[in-house]
Amino acid sequence: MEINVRLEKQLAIVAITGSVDALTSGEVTNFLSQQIEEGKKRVIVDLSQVDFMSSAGLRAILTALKASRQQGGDLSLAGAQPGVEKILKMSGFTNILKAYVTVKEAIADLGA
Amino acid sequence: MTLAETHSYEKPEKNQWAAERELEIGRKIQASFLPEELPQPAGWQIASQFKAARIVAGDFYDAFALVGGKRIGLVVADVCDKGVGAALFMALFRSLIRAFADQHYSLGWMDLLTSRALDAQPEPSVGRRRELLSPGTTALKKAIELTNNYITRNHGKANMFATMFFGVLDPATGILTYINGGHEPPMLVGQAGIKARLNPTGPAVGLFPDLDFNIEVVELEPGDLLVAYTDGVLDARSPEGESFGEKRLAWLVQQPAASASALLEAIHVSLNEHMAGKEQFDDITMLALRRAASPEIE
Repeated sequence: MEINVRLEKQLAIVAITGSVDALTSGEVTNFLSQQIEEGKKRVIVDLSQVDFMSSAGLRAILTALKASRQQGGDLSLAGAQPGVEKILKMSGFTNILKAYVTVKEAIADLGA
Repeated sequence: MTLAETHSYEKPEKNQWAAERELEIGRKIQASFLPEELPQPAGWQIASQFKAARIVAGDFYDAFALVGGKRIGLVVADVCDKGVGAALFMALFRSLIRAFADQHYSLGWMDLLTSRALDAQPEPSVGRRRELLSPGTTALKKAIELTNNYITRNHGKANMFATMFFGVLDPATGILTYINGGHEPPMLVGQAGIKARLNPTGPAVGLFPDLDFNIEVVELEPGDLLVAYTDGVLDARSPEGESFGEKRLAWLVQQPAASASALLEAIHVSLNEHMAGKEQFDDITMLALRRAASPEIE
């Protein structure tokens, strides 16, 4: 799993590559919480290169979602592949946060 | 070798032994949070399969009698993440669901009051729907909502949630009232194949307070079978990395089986063949409910 961040229009776009599961979710949680602590509280998580997400991955997303909202920001998802999208929909995550088809679309909607 | 050296040499082993012993105690206590035996109402079979990936598990299933056996509560759930954390929350989720369901089914007479009050209102369609769902609708909804609010309000910082199917069966009629909180949709199988998938009616339990959970109703006719399971079944990997998948499971549940437990055993064997000795990385849980084809058989 790889994770990195870039800034665009006052949004932190966090791109994850690989699987987000029990082995890697801790790293995702730490990375996202560090961004939010640094003041990058408006976050888009780019899932376009994520091939598998387990419930541990969903937990990492939930943790970061709450942290960003507590700081007055928000967290959105973008680019989920069909397998990951199915998990997001089924678990109701698409009801508690914004999920965009592409990062471009997310930036257009949320960017300053 | 001095005594001090002996001591420092032995310490890590001792610690490991102590940790393993503690985990083993945890495993035994957790096993006691699963039902020792499953209720077997006349004309019905209930069976389960459960295989933890680690010493302790985040999955659980439950089946318990409500209102003196007039209703049967059925639960299959998957607490997020793995290990000891998931295991502790498994105990909490399981207990809250059971306790709230039991408490509110004892107060089932309130449903009668609710449905009568609604009938008096000038919206007969709403009244009829409510009456159809009663009794016990309130109790099912309350059990999930109160569990959701308890977890989010008292343990919000842990960010632990569970996907959960909770159904309440009336064994006399075959009516199953259920809430699916973000869980893999159970398969309802009839003589001619899969009749329905019991899709989510709300989000996973424990995400945020006061989320909406809807109730759905389905009828199990004589001969029908309901199979609820966790994603550990679908995600079980072969040595080549291929998932067991929904298609295999759907095919298996439609094969003739002597009983609900024989069917789950057949799925279990097929899962083992698929994994072919590869390490199981997620808990595997299944619960099957079968209505006898005709009452005489039972």
